[in-house]
Amino acid sequence: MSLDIVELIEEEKRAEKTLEEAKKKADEIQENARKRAMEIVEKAQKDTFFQDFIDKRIREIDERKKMVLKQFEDECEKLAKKAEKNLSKVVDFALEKVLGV
Amino acid sequence: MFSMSKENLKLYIKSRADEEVKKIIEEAESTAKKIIEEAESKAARIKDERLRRVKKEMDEKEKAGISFAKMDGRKMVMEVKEEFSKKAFSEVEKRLKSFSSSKMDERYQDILMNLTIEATSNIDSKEIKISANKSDLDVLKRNIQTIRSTVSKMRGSEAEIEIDNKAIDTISGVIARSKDGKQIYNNTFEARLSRTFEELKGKFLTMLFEE
Repeated sequence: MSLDIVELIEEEKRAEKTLEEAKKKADEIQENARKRAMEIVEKAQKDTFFQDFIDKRIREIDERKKMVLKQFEDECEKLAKKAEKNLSKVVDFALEKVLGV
Repeated sequence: MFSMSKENLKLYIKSRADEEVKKIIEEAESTAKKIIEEAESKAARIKDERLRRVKKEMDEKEKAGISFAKMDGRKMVMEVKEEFSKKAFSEVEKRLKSFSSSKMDERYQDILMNLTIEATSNIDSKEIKISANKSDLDVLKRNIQTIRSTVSKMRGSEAEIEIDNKAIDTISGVIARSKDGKQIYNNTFEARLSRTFEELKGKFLTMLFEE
């Protein structure tokens, strides 16, 4: 009978050891999850996520700026042509005003 | 329980331990899953916020970029207008110089007389001194009586007009001064040219750039 008890105690000790190992494994699982979670958040905080989007928008903005400037350049060209055509008329008019005639 | 055999008891201990182990591991895995899900949810929120911020930054950058481009464009247009305004000014100045070289031209002399009468009429003083360039002084001296009588007639009283023998540096035209020097009327070509472009710049620009 005492031998049987010893065997049962041994069995109980093995069970406790198994439980301890399981608890260690559980801690490890949770610790790994926390590390992974930290990595996920850190990765999200990095700026490189939207670089493609930023590059694309910068190209679009540059294109729009070029278009706006081109419109003004065209306007300047038209103005210069008109002024070349009207210059002598303006000079004659101004000359009359200066001479008071 | 007392009726259980030793083997059955051992099996019971083992199976109870196995169940406990299973429960511990399942709970740990469940907690781990929750931690990862929360992290992914947080990461998604961070990404959304970043994307919203980046989009806003880009929109602001676009607005500022277009605004600067428009400012540059308007500056270019203003420069073209200024360039042609200066061109017109220079051309008028050139024509005035050329005109003033035709000293004996009757039209030139009439204009000089008119400018002199206009200048002296604007001085509210009985005694007036007129300055002009060297060649215009000769024309004025020849016509001093006409100037005096015309101005006197315009005022309704005698005007004492003298010509300053010291020539001034000007294309043409005159400067009239009261004797005490308190009143001056600059009617030289240069002064009239500047006044005309100051007063009529808007009109000139309209004329220059109309169809």
